[in-house]
Amino acid sequence: MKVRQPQHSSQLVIGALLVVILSGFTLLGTELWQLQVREQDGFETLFRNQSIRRVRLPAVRGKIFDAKDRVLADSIPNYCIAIYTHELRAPRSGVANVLEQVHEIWSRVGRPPNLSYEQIKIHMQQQPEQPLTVYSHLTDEEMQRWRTEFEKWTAPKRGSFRRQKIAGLDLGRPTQGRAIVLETQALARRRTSTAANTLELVYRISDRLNKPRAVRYQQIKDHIFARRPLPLIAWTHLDKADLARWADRCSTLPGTDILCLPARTYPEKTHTAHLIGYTLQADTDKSPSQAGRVHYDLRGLKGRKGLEHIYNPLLTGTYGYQLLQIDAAGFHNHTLQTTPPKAGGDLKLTLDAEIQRMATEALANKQTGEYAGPVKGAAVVLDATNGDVLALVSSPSFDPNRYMESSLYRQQLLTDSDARTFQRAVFGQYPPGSTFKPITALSALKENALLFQEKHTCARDYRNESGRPMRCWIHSQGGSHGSINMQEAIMQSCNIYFYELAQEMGYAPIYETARAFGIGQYAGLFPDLEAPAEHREQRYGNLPETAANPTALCNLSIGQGQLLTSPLQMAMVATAIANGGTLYRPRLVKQFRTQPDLPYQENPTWAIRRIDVDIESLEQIRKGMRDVVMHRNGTARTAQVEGISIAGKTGSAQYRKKVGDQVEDRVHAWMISYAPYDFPRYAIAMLVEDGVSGGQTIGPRLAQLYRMLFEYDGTLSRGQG
Amino acid sequence: MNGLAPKRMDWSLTGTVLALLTISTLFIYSAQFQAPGSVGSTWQRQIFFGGAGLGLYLFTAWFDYRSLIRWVGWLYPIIIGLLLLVFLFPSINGAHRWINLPGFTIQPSELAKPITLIMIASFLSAPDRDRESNQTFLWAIGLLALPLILIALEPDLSTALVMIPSVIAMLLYAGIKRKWLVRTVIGFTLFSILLCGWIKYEAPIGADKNTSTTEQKWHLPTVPLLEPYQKERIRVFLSDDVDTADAGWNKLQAQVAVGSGGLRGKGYLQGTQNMLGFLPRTVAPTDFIFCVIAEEMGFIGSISILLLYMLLLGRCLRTAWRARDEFGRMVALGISTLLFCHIFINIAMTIGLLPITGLPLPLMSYGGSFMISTLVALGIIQSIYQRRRIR
Repeated sequence: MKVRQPQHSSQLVIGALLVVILSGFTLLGTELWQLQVREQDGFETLFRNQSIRRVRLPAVRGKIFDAKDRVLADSIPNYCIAIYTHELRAPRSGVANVLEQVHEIWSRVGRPPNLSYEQIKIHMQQQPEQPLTVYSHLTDEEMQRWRTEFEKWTAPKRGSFRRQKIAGLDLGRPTQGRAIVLETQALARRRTSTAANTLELVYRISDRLNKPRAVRYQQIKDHIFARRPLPLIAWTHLDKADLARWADRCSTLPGTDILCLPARTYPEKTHTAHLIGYTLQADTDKSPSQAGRVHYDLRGLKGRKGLEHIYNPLLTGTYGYQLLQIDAAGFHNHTLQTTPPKAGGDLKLTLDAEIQRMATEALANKQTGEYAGPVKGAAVVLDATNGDVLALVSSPSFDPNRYMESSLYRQQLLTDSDARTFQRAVFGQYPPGSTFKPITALSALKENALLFQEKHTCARDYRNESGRPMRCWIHSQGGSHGSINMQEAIMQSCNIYFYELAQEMGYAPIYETARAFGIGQYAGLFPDLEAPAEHREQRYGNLPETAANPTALCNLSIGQGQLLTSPLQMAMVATAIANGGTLYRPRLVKQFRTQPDLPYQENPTWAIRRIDVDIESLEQIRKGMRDVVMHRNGTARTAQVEGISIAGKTGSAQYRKKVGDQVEDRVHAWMISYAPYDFPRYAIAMLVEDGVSGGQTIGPRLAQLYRMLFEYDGTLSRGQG
Repeated sequence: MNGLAPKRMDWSLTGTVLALLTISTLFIYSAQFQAPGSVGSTWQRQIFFGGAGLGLYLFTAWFDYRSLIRWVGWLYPIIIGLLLLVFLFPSINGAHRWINLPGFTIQPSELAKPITLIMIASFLSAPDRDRESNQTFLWAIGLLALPLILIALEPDLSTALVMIPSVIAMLLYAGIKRKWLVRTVIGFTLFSILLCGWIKYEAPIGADKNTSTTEQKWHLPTVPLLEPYQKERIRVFLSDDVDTADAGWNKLQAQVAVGSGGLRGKGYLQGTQNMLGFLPRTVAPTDFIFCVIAEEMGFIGSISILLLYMLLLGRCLRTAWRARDEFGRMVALGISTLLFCHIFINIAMTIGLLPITGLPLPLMSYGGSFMISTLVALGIIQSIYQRRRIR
């Protein structure tokens, strides 16, 4: 029998709930008592200076190696002395006050005072009631300056008529004779500012370490004004002796500590500056998840250029965190907890530092007829079989180590007329000149494979279809190429031949072939991460889609006019011709690992496309290019190396340069090349701005580079040739 | 019958509500106070919400709660619709909890809590209901499960789970078969213990396949369904040595804030822990408002708040006791349990007894939807009390 008894049930449930509520609140009450009254001491001391400091620790930055495991970018420790300014709030110190005032006066007089820290200390110990002469024997000029500055310093505030008092200085008598005198007694009684204490601490450390001060008073003031919670870095790059001295004499000073900041070094210095790039101090973490939770952000390094920039996330690793407890006196009490940072990963490049050095050396080898100043140009050495980058030289270069250390050097580079920080090999945009002719020839052969037999005459009075007279380079030397076929036209670089060829077929086939060879496109190295996608292509050369008139067509066919390419793109062209028509994406990073203890992962070789050319036609072009170097009439006879069969194509791209008020006709000297001819291993593009001609300017450099290369890989024995 | 009868109203309930609202505004001001002249507008908005809520409180007290039986048949589907609508709005911090309207946002899950309770109460108190049949029990669970699952999917697990004890209390009262309830409760407890254990010993988040090749260590598979941050909070609660620098920061700072308050506190607007931003600024006026009070008013202040809440809950239980019909009794019981759970869980989490959750403190925490839903619920209590039976 089921009889409901709501009355009974309601009593029971409400009663039970009441009991639950009461016991719940009792539990909360006792816990609160426990926390707030019983353990209050513990929490209050924990709280008193909110002694927990959360520090963000940077990870060790990954390294960059070359193909033979030579270090190109390395992480080294940079020991610094840090001053925790907010812990320097000692009640009063006359010495600190005097020091501060001396520095204030110093900044207004403009020369160091006539007394040392030691003298101030002795004075304050022995006779603080006596006035202290800070400056004596002031010159008239200094007196004048000090008077005006003193007027400004003590000028009445807005809305007031009274001049401001400066502690220790007499308003009526800014100079006493030829001296400035401080009333130290007034200063001894004043409260001390944090800046003054910091300044005194800097002096004390400087005294004990025997090291000149590295921070200025103004920097201290700026730091306390703007970055108070962060440690002030007072000295950097301490050596072992400094560290030992610090541990011995300074470790008892409050508010100071040794910090180890990460630093970066590039052992190859100028050789790899453009492609490795450099690092500068990272910005503070402003992500909302960390905002306000990090007290000390020991900022790591951030890659700003080159591979350091592009692979920054991989190289940086993961930040760690540390909780420090600090006692009331400001001493580092103990470390509560550490989440260690995770070291960044490493890169292994296809680049060979030795080859890079050879290419730099060869590029710097000046030939007759060049302008004074550093050689401006680029050299790119690719592995002809797969597009691996063996050397990528831009000249002139800069020293990334100095760049990171000295802001003066950075400033100099900004205004440098030679544009030393510009990576000419990748971002330089030059008309390719005659090195473009193989592409014109190939596109003609693609239209009609029999064209290579056709002969054209290098006429001195040549006029193109629109009737405009056009010339071959040899005409200015009083010669003529006569009636020649394609192979000879490539060998002797005859312009007229290519004008006629181009006018026969029109611009579209040339455009197609040039596009297939990657001219005027992003090559696959050093993407411009900041630029929007639509502007990205513009930074990597220019391949016009149409030619406006026959003259423009003729100019494009010999690589002049609006056409612009980079040395890297031309090296890719040489690679494609050398290996029978496969265009490889240049590969610079061979392997990478995300952590130093993990195995390397392969960054695969990547063929962009098979270029649609007839292998027979390509062979014709290759023969022509071999003759350029190997034939006694070739334009680059100077590039010959005994025992090696080399193919190449010279180029002398004319352009107009504004020099001062005048416009001069100048020449970019080019050469693309590959060797050995039968089984190509190296493909090289070399460019020198303002040269004489491809054969004369680049030829000897190339010969030198090939000789060194083949000696290096053992094909030639050393000392031969 | 709608209407207000001042003589029959529970003035001590109204007084407690007013007292709590005043304290709330004062301490939300304090939580935002960093330096003179730099206070946000949060406290002004709280006054606005409090005022609007009080109006609704009087309105619901005037309104005869018995007609809710009819109304809730509409309100329940509407609120389910709103809970579905939430998923159409862009997520904030990875959660779909809010509906953005021009000028303000509403959080339907807060409104869903009292409506679900009223729905279940009206279902159980229908005169022809056989309360001992399994069917009734399953229907009641179904009515609870629908909004609960929707809220849990938002994800807002704590808001969803906090409804369960209230429904259990109502079911107990309705005289459902005890064995069902006992089984459910035991099952639930076992489930949560197992879940906690699993979370504690599962593979830590950072451990991926790469590292496990070097050290062949056996790991439990990761817990499905729960969000990583939810697991992290439970893990922080279960062990003391989880990275205090990261996940445990809020817990530690909340405890330091409460603990440093001492017996008398540091004084109004003197809570350094809060002012210096060690207590995260975003949560100080919402979920961690009790910390601010405990720090500035000390043990005396926090115990007074506890006493005020006890008074409030006592009056609610008294209403349940004196209600004239079953529906009213069940609603009052459900609401009292709901309020108690909120209060207990919020305070317990600020002093480290429970894992950190997103449950606000009724009448104290900053937040419009919850403030209005709480005051409407208390208005219903007042309405029930006014129409109590006379002995």
